[in-house]
Amino acid sequence: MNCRRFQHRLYEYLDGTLSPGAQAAAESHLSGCAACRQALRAERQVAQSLSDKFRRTTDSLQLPPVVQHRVLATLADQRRAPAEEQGSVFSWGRLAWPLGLAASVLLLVAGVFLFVRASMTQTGPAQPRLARDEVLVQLSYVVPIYTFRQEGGFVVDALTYQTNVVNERLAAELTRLK
Amino acid sequence: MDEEQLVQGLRSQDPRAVQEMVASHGDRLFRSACLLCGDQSEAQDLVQETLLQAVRSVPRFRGASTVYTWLHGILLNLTRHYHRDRKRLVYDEELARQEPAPAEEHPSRLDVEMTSGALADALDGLSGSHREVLILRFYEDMKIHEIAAHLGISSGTVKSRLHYAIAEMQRRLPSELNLFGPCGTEEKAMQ
Repeated sequence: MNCRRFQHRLYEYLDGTLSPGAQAAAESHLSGCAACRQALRAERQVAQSLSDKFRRTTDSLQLPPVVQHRVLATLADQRRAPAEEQGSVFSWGRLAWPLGLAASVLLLVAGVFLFVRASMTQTGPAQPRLARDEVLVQLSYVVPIYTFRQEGGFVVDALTYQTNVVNERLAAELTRLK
Repeated sequence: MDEEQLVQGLRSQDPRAVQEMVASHGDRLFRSACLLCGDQSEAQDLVQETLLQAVRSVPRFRGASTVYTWLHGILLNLTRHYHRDRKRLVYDEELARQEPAPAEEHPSRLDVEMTSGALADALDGLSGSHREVLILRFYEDMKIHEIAAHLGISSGTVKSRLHYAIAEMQRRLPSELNLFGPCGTEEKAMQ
């Protein structure tokens, strides 16, 4: 073992965690190397010095009893928390999906209802005449159109959109919503 | 009450087990927390939260380490959050500051004696990761491989951090508290 290897394993030597072979090699190196003995002394002195300082600084400190009281009180509060309160929090979490779905359906139905109402109250020449049990459903959709054309030696592409509106009459049981 | 009984008691949130945990480990945790964060009232809060988290998470404790080591792991995590929050707070205070900081900046700082003040100042100047290894090594008396396991880092990283932490402490401590003794700096320089 040389100085570099010994000093690399200095902490393990101090900890006594070297393998028996490495421990013997370290002892053998130390017996003939003043620099490594000095390094070992210095490291022990640092350990002793820091350990003493940390202990001297903190030995008189004690955890205030209030901490134990607070911990016990917090745990007791948690145990006393009404079961129904905990249950309700749990139920809300469990019901999140169904409630979300129900809200979406409600919004959809309300949207159709409002649209139907708006269609029924709309006036003017474009308004088609509706039979008594009919409703007008207006759908609009956008179609993207991607075109290519040749200009000289280049191919030029262009993206445009076309909006289509379709009016459909539906024999409406939906009118019951009115 | 042995450790197994203590863990069983904590699982059922038995107040006697909580009292036993505080009696057995409270002071040691508190002292370690004081060294880690440098402020007694913050240390008190950190230990309180450590004990509460321990009771809440005890079903996940598998007994791979001692109860104290497990508690100390929780404390370390909480202390890291504390240091992150404090950095943010200092930054905000600096932005808002119009006047120099009042003299009583750390009212409950470790000022047991002069050594304590100097030590606390020197520790305060270290980064969190350097402070951790120093305290685990020289206060908790952990071996290198134990620190590595506790922090989830390699032994090489532990040794490297220790090396820099000791050098930084030596630089920051006043000469009368030299870590290497009266001619320590010279001895170190010779190496």
